[in-house]
Amino acid sequence: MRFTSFLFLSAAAALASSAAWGQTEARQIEFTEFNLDNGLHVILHEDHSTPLVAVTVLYHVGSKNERADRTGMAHFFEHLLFEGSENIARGEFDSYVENAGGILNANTTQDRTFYYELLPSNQLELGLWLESERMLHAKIEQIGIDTQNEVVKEEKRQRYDNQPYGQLLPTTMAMAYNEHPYQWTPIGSMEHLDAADHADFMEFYETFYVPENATLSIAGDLDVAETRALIEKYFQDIPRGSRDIPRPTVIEPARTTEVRDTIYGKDRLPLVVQAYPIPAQGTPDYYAVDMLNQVLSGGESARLNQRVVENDQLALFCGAFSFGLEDPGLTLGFAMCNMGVDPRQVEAAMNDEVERMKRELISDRELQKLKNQIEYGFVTGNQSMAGIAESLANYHTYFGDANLINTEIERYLAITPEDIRAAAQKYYMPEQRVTLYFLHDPNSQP
Amino acid sequence: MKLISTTLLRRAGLFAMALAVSTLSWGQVDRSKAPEAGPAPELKIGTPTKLKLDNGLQVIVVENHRMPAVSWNMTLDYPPFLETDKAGLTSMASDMMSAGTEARTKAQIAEDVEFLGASFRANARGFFASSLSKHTGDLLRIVSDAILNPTFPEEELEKVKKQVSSGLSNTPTSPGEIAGNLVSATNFGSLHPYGEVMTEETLDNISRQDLVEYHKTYFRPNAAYLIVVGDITPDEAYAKANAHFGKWYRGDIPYTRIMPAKFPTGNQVRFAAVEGAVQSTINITQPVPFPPGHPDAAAIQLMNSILGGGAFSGRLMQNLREDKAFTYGARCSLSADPVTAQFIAYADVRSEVTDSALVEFMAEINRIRDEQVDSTELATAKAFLSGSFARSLENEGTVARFALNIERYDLPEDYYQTYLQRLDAVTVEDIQRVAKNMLKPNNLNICVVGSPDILNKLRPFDAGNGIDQYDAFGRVRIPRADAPTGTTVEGVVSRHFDAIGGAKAWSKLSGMTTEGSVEFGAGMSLQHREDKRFSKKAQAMRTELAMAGQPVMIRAIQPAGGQELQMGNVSDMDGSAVAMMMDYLSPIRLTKMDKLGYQGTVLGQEEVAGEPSTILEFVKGDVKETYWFRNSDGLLIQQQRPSLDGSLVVEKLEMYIPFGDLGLKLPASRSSAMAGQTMIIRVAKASFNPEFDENAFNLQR
Repeated sequence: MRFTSFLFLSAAAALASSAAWGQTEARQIEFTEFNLDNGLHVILHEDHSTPLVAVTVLYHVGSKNERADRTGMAHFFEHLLFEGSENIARGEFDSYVENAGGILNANTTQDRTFYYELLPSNQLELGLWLESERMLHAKIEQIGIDTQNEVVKEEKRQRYDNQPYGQLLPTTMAMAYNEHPYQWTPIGSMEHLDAADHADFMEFYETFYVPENATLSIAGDLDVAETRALIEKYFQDIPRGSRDIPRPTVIEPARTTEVRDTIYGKDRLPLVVQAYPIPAQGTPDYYAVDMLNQVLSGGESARLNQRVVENDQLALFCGAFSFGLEDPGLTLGFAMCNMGVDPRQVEAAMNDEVERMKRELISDRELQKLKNQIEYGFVTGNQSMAGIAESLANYHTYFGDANLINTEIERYLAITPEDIRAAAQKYYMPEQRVTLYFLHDPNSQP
Repeated sequence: MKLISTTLLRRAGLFAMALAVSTLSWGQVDRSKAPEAGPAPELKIGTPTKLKLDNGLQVIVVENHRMPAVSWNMTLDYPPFLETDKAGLTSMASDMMSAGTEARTKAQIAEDVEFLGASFRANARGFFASSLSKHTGDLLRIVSDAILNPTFPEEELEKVKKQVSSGLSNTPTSPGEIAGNLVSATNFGSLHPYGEVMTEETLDNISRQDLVEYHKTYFRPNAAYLIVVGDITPDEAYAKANAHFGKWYRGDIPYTRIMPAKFPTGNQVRFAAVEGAVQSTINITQPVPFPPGHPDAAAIQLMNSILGGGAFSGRLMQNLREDKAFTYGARCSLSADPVTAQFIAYADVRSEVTDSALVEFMAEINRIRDEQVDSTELATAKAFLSGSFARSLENEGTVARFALNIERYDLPEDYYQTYLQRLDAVTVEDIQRVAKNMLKPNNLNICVVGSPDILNKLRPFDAGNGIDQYDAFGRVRIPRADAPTGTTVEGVVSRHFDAIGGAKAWSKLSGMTTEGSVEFGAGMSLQHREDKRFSKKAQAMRTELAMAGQPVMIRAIQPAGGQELQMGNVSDMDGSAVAMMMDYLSPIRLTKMDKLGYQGTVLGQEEVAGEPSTILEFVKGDVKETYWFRNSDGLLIQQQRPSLDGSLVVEKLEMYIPFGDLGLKLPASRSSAMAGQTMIIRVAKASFNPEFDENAFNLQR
């Protein structure tokens, strides 16, 4: 992410809300989509409630597209692409938007890089000009590279190195993947970034930042016909890329023995992390796994919290969340133990609940509760224009079906208690698991 | 109620835009400059419906049928209060508000709410609950039971305490939390509700009864606002509010007087060490006079935005990140607060550049006061704030929040309707004026959490002689080293007396009178005179404070008893206070602590105001006194011992100079922090072995 205020454990919240639940009674999100000749995919959603417009571009490139000796490139590039273009002087990208009364930011995941401007609706054209400049001829200069190199290092220090349990995600990913590029996280390696030269950046830009690898998704107070004309004006002359877009094809081999490790640090409370490999998002089994995790962790009354936190009083927090990705992702279970509690006890309680999911079908009441939760999430999910634009772009990019914004709920509701039990039996295998303890190093200060 | 711009106007705007577009799209695209904006869309701010229930509960409704869901948000508007040795009480109350009622256990509340697919979060100042419209009745039944009839079960309290206590044990490794504690503790102090920090000890003191009392006192409908947003008509909302919260009884909410927060005297660096930290968490902060509805509110917001409180193009971000690359982000904040507002400029920077970053922060804070801002900068800030305002209206709850603020802070009804006009009217002169009014660049708390290695680099930023160090919970922490072997209590004490004229000379005194002044905080000064009679059989002391020669307070104490005269009334002093003052009387008391029953120890060495000093501690039962002797000359420069009200007071003793012709030295200045203020007693004149008027030591006739 380019700039953020970050709180630890917001990770848990983000994971918890990552599932885009469906909607039954909700109004349909209507949208128009089309391709330009250069391959740019466009999605427009019209809503006049507030005179605002969210202009977003999703590039289908994330850390999994990086070379193993250039990790962190996608995220670093996100920073660089605010530096300016042939027509936008260094530092002016922000001021154009802010002078217009808007805000802008971007973020990078394993799978994609997402840029957005939220503007008053009379500034729609400004947003299109800026994004088309970024796509057509961003300016990548040494001064920008040097500055952002330092800024990204500070971002890593602030969000990982100087953060309690900041190594949780990078360590878990490194242990959970041996072959697939998900083994590194988007922040990447600072040594790799130091080693990258101007040619590397240009290659990255010319490979991935091309119209056929992008989705322009716009939501808000707009008129579809006018907006389409403006989009053509700014984007249709942007040439297609000339290169193949590399996508990882490697399939992470299934583990046959559990990986266990203990990481010592200065944090005081023991943390237990479990990672189970799960199918790629959008596959039928993925929805069953996601429902399973909802039974385990969908709220205070969910099983892991009731068992580990409330009844056994072993932990401050305990939950398991689907980290759904384009290629097969992970379920991440974690528990922060109460002071003085043996993490093995916590792990045993977590395993016990997982085993129960394999043995027993969930009750009718639990099923009804799941459906009610899914329905509520879906109905209330699509509120902000920025959120709608992003969801539409995600659904199109990952599944080729933007209308999943309206229909994905059916996939969830089709899951039966038997599917959930089968998913537990199939994917929550102890031998495929990674189990990590983060423990206090008694020699560390203070 | 609608939040939508009028359709007609908008259509007109789009028509104009359509014309513009169609002409342009036939020509060559001019990429060299940014496109012009279309006509500004009109922003309509809706008015929610307001109604008061008979019991005083105020209901504010924003009707919006975009989605079949309704949210209920209650705010209890009571003034913050001091929690003292139970700091964290309100935070615990937040954790315990949905922990069970007579009818439902904690687990049942959670299960029943979540079965509906709904959400419910209660806290010490109300709750937030939301569900699909069809579940509203079921949800409110659970919510109102939880809010009105909590039983705070003992076993749930113990459970939560265990979790909170575990959480607290992690605080020392979380720079962000430490920084938050440091800012609160130094801006407000422990005598202000915002300055209290929960620790293991205060957590331990919180009982079930405290929560019961707390709920009984503060959860009253006459202090409550209920905001209802969504798929519901005002009539239905009132009916539901009445059905679920109508039988809730009024109560008197106590009013707590809050000591105003004080600027520090001179810039003070406040440091909390985190071993191995790779960044320094910087918060440069001070309390500011900025209540809601301040006539300059728009100018203050703009000033804060230009400095770094909003746009990415803010000065702090541009300077510290985009130009210097010291940090991932540098910003500032300055928001109105009904009790005490605070200004904070903040960033996490890599350790090596901590001092350079502080230089830039200070330069930016000074620049916005010393120089007028550029008119284009002001225009950007105005655009940015108007844009934020417009974006905030995307959330239906915003107009309800506006209505709530209007009620709570007694703002004009059109306060938010006219906000953009006020913003627009602000000039560059206004920005400089409010910057000067709000920001005091020589009275800042410069709070830094970081690696101990950087401590020395921070010294130039501290106006005093030394940097105060704090622990993770904002308590003063003093790093200590061992004293050299051979250091003894007797040796340290006699070195001090040798430096002030000799214990022998002091032991021969029959009495002493000092005259001078006492200052409280800034500006208030009184005459101060102290008479002390040391003679064994006739110990006595008298303290007199006077203004322009007129006594305002006299205290006279003899072993048999003491009296205080204040505002013309004489009152007897508490026996234990008298005993304490008599105990403290002897000028050579420190030479005979063992005879008085104290166990003395050399605790070690540490810096006091930048001076390496040796620490002695004396303990008798549960009474503990601590003394710091400067290594360079042996003089006692700081002491900490119980004061008359039982609290531990730290007193600094400075400027030892000889008085009279016996070669005896006294500290010309003794300062202590009391009630958030610094009290300084200055001695201008001292006389030894004076003749006392016997009546002086007895105020009773």
